[in-house]
This record gives sequence, C-alpha cells and structure tokens, in this order.
Amino acid sequence: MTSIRSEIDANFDAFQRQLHASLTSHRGEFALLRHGQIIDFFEFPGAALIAGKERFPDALFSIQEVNDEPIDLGVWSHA
Amino acid sequence: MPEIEWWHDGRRIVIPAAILRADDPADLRFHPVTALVDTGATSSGIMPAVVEALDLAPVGKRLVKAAHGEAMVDTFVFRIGLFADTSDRIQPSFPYVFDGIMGLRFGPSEHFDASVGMDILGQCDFSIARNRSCRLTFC
Repeated sequence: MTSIRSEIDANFDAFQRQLHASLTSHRGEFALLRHGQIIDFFEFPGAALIAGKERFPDALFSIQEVNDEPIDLGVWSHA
Repeated sequence: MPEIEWWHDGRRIVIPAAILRADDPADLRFHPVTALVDTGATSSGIMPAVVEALDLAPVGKRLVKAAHGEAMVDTFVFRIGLFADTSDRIQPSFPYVFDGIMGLRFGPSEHFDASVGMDILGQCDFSIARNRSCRLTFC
C-alpha cells in the first residue's frame, strides 16, 4: 500500500522533471499531483488542498509550488 | 480595514496568532501561538507541537536555503489568524484568518512557536516605530 511519504517523494521527482515547462505558464501557482501526474494548478495552496481531499479520499496526493527558487528560512537559517 | 497594533520588547517582534487547518474553511478551531514576525523568511512556519496539535500531514517538500547550505524539508498547508486585540492573551477575540498558505515545520524555540513570514506580511502594510509600537494593516 502506497504511503503518503512515498507518494510525496514520487510526485516530487515527477514534478521536478516537469518544472521547467510548468514555470512558463504556471509560475507561482500550486500543482496538485497524484501518482506522478499533475492533476491541476491552483492559485492558492488552500484551494489545492481542498480539491485534493475532495477528489482523492485516500489522501494520496501532494501539492508543489511552481517555483524554482529555494525558500529563505529567515531566523531559522542559523538554527 | 483591519488593523493590529502592539508593542515589541526590543529584542524581537512577536505577536499573538492562531494556526488553523486549511482543509475545511468552515472549521474555525484554532491553536493559539506566539509568532515571530520574520521579514527574512519567505514562508511562515510552525513548530512540531503545533503540527501535532492540529494533526497536520505534510503535503509536499521544498528546497530551503540555510546558513549551512540547502536542504529538503516537508511543507504543510495551514491558515494563520491574527488578533485585532492583542492585549488579552488569555481570552483572545476571534482572529482575522488569512487564506491557506504553504509553510514549513521548524525546530522548537523557547521564545515563539510559529513564525509569520513574507507570505503573510506581503499581504499587509507593516510599520514599526521608535516607541516600540508595531502596526499591521490588511484587507
């Protein structure tokens, strides 16, 4: 049985391979992924989460921001 | 337009806040936290105890940049609420709740249990004065 951890990892790998193409038209949006496929793009992460819960009751999905820049951690950068 | 005014202690800017789940807009139960206002952080964050209290599950992962290099961390979707009246920390009024954000889980801190990053601050007017007063205004 697939776990949410392996689903996140597999989706992330697939997302990274498609990221360059997605950036062109979806930069800053949030991709809903399942089984290595991008299902849809959303303007806000909350909307992506609600759509994921509605479409996939088994909760096997993940959300990735269409962005190729790493996050700055602020004060936690030095933790 | 909602406005929040409070005072910092001269060492850091913290503010009473609320963390809510984001998977049901009608679910207004919240976990009260003390949040660091961190203009250097791209994303807001919550401590592990808050993740546990709200039973949040990771939704993805993201590359982060830290002093020691880059690392991959889990991401979580949650909502942050801010209280208009920051004087009553025991019985706070109901908070103004922002739309869900994609934030991070940080390590524990003795001074705060969440951080408000630029994903929230970018939606606000934020000012700080020499008398230690701080003000957040948002729509």
